[in-house]
Amino acid sequence: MMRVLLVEDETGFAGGLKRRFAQEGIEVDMVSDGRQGLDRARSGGYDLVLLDLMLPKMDGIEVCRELRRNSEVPVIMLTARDDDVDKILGLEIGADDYLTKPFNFRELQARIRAVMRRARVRNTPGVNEERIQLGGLILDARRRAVLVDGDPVDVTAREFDLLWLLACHPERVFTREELLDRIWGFDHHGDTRMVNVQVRRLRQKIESDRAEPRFLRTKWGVGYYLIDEECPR
Amino acid sequence: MRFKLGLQLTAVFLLITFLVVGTAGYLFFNTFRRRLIDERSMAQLTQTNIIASGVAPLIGEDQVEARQILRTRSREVGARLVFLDPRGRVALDASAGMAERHLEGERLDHPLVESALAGGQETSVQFLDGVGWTMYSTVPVIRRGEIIGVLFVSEGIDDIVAALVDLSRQLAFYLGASGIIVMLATIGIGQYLTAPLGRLTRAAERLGAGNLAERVDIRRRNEVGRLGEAFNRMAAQLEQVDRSRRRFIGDASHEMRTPLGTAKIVLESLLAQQTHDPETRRALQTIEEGVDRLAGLVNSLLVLTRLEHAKASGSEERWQDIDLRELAHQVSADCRPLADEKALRLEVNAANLVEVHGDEDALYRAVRNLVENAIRYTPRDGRVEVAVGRVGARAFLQVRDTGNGIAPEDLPYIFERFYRPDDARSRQAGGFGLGLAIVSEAVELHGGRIDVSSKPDEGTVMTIELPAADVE
Repeated sequence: MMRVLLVEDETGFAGGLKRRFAQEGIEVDMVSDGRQGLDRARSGGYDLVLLDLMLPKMDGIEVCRELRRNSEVPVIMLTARDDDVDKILGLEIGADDYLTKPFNFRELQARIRAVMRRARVRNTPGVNEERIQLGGLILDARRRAVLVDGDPVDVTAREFDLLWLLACHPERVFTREELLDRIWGFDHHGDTRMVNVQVRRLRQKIESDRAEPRFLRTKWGVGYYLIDEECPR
Repeated sequence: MRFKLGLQLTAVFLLITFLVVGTAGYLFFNTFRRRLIDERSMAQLTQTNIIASGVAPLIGEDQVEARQILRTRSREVGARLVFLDPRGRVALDASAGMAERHLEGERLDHPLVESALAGGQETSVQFLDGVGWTMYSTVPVIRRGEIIGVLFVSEGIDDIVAALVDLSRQLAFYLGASGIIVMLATIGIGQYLTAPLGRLTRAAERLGAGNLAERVDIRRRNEVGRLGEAFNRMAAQLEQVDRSRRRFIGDASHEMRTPLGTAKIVLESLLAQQTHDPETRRALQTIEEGVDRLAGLVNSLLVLTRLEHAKASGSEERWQDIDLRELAHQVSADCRPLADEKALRLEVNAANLVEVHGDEDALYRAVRNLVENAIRYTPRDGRVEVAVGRVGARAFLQVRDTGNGIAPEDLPYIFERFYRPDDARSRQAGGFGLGLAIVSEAVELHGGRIDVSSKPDEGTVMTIELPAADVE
């Protein structure tokens, strides 16, 4: 049974969401301020934390940042503002996904599925350190090899790093800034065109049609992500 | 035709210069001429008097001696000396032998002679053909108080004429030179005055076209400088007003999302219960539709505000190289469910790589709005086609449908905010009339243009034209 923590000060919203989850047979614990939310999330046992961005006492960004110091629990941010996307998804905060209010419950379910699957991939012992398979795409970390439908593809070290990072978090959208920081390092800050160029080269190698990429997708206006072909949609 | 301020200035100053310098030059010339001639007259009269008194005792006594003296004196002063008897007949001609015409024995009718016979002394200047400017002077020759004749002197004044010609040449030179100096100076002053005005005009035009960040840099300690400062203050104020308007719409829209989110999730949880009677269920669905519509409106307003903000700031920092083919495929994939609902054929026709440099989110929304619109206004079993291409430095993305088309009278307004054609079909189709406003705003942000051609009941073709980027 999945355990969900909802940190939300808007009681009407929290009540509605809790009831909707209950209809799907999922129990949701609710707290209404940031500090309590952080304590409850830390005390553990949750499979997922749904975190509102604007919270009394401690805002969602702060909660998430604190939580990430010692917890890998998947976090989805719920927000009425979508102008902080870069920050929310950024390395510093470490949320796994975000959703803008108002949203369809179905949409939330899809995000939860993706995030949960990602967490499972990450937590399977031994697997994520050496080999990741996402449908037709296989990454082998030891040999730094990439296989597309069984055929080996030559990639550079940096291209492999990029692919590996995306593959470790399938379906998670990475902003260009975050990719730049993680793959190139902070001294390249701001030069996001390098990410574009790298993605374009990588697509030439692993995609049969760059205009309709099968694996390495664009989240328009946000960044890039690697699709998990086995993830239920 | 409007005349340029600088040109007007130059013309007026030139006119004034020519009037002032010309008049002064003319007056000076005349004064100078009169003075020269007066001096020469005085000198000539004095000399003539001396000669007259020299020859007076010899007249009628020793004619040979008199002629000899006159000849000598004539040679000395370089003039022709003629002695006339009291009846005005020439008695002695000192140029005899060297003049063309020997005048002795002839009558010389001249006003000066009359006046001299009456005791006057006068001079006059005349122009003689073949000789040039000549000065005449006459004095009576008097012996023992009785006028016994007239001494008539005629002398060329070429030296005076030459001096005057020289003077007039100099005056003309100064007039021309000062004209040129004034012209250059006024052209310079004109430039100095009008250059900032031109800058101001262009800045005002750009400001009027919507670029509220426009400022002018006019560092002048005069009225023009103050005008520039006033312009900048006005632009700053406009920008401030525009900024707070955008912020207000943005804040209000964001604030609306929280209660909308609550309404939405509560409605969903209610609708998930199977216990409602049909009437309640229909009512709940109606409310949900309303919430969705409001949410759509809020999203559109936020997108518009963001686009306006991007345009006002002019920042291209977040721009990416965008593959229009990928964009077309992505949008068509995202719109596929909508098309399938109406059994529409949704096709992407993009053979070649076409890239542009731009705001990813803005272009995605623009293309998505176009495709959604096309789907919305195309009847079942119709066709929507997205084509991507490039001609020279321009990239094209075209959305073509076999839909209802747009009435010619609506065509000029479809990109205006909240404009909806006043017919049942479009009201039924929903929307707030912000979709195409977003498209046009996004295209404008990229310095592109949008072209529409539509035939009622045949279909619509919307073409976005953007500057192509050269990548790879």
